[in-house]
Amino acid sequence: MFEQLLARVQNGTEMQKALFVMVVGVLGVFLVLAFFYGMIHVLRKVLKK
Amino acid sequence: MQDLLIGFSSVTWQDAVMYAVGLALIWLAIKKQYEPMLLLPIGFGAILVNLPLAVVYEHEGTPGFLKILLDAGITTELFPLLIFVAIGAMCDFKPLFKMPVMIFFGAAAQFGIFATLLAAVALGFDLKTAASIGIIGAADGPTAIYVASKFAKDFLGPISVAAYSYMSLVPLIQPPVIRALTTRHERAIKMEYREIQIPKSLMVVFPIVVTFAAGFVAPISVPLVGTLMFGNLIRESGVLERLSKAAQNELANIVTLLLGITIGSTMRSQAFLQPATILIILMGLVAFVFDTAGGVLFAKLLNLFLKRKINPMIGACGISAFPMSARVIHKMAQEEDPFTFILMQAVGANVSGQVGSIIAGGMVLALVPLLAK
Repeated sequence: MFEQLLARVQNGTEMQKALFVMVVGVLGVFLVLAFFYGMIHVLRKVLKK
Repeated sequence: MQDLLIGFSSVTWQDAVMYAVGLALIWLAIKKQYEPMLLLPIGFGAILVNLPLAVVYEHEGTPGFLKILLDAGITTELFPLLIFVAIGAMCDFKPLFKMPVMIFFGAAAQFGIFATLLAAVALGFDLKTAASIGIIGAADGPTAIYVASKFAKDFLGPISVAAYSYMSLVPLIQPPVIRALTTRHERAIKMEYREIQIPKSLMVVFPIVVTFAAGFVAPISVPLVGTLMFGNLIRESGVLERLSKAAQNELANIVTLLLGITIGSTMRSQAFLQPATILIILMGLVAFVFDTAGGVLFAKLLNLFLKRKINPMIGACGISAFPMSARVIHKMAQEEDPFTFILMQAVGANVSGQVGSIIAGGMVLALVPLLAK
């Protein structure tokens, strides 16, 4: 599904491409930092023992 | 006779404007102390490269020292990456480990990067240039230089100048945006702070795990993340004190010196004096405003669901300008209520901004080539 969306955006206007970068970029930053958040919690618990 | 006076006869009005720009940057650095470590060398580099015949850059087919530095340090992306090693060695992630939730503000305050990218495309810039303009909002000079050197070499000068200038102007840019988006009551919200012990091993393991995570999730971001985490591992390992100090002092100072003057060398009049430069500098300001707004509004959104409210100004600290943003926000809170003490939370969000900005840079580096022609 993501690949289909990507293919459509690749053939789209510059504005559509920018919008795609914005949405995926913001979500991506949140997802990666959410992963770090979980990782810090786990490491804090594991390494305390 | 004409050969003897070639220095005078070859000066153009555009060169004269660039001397004024260079002198203005030097004045800002010395008189106003706006990021003097970068703006002074950039200003002097801008003068050097626009002097008659531009011998420092290239003359009769022979590269001058600034062109050699540009090719060796910027085109290869070496200088910004070495700066990351130094920043990593200076970074103390403890405030983040004590309050991991602050990491989300480091994500929210990157909103300006992407909003500005969109605005730049709307103004007619191509996607790669727009991404390089947006990244000014990372409030992180080396990330801005790294991305611009990949996507928009022609605009490296204005993008770098905008990034460093606005970073130094955080105390002037953030307060009005925050005041416009928050009430007096919200700015005075007190937040609980509990001092907890962080195991030393966490500080050692963190940079290693983050490097692996970046390597698998966004391999293209590894130069940025990897060098930052390498510097941090040197610091936290506890066995490389000499190297840690060398990274924080000698390496940081030498590379900053060379980086500044080399960036100045990209400010040749024919490349710098165009309408796009003014737009880029204005868009940089827009990026910082959107960053601040993104962080504050995200904190207000969280407050709708939380019992213990967050002071929404903390959201604005999610930018990478460390520790300036945290200080500004803490001072604003104290002005509203001398008993509101949010410095630790602000520092935690500000440290998160340093991680968030390079992750955002990595996202831009990964996504834009998929779409740009």
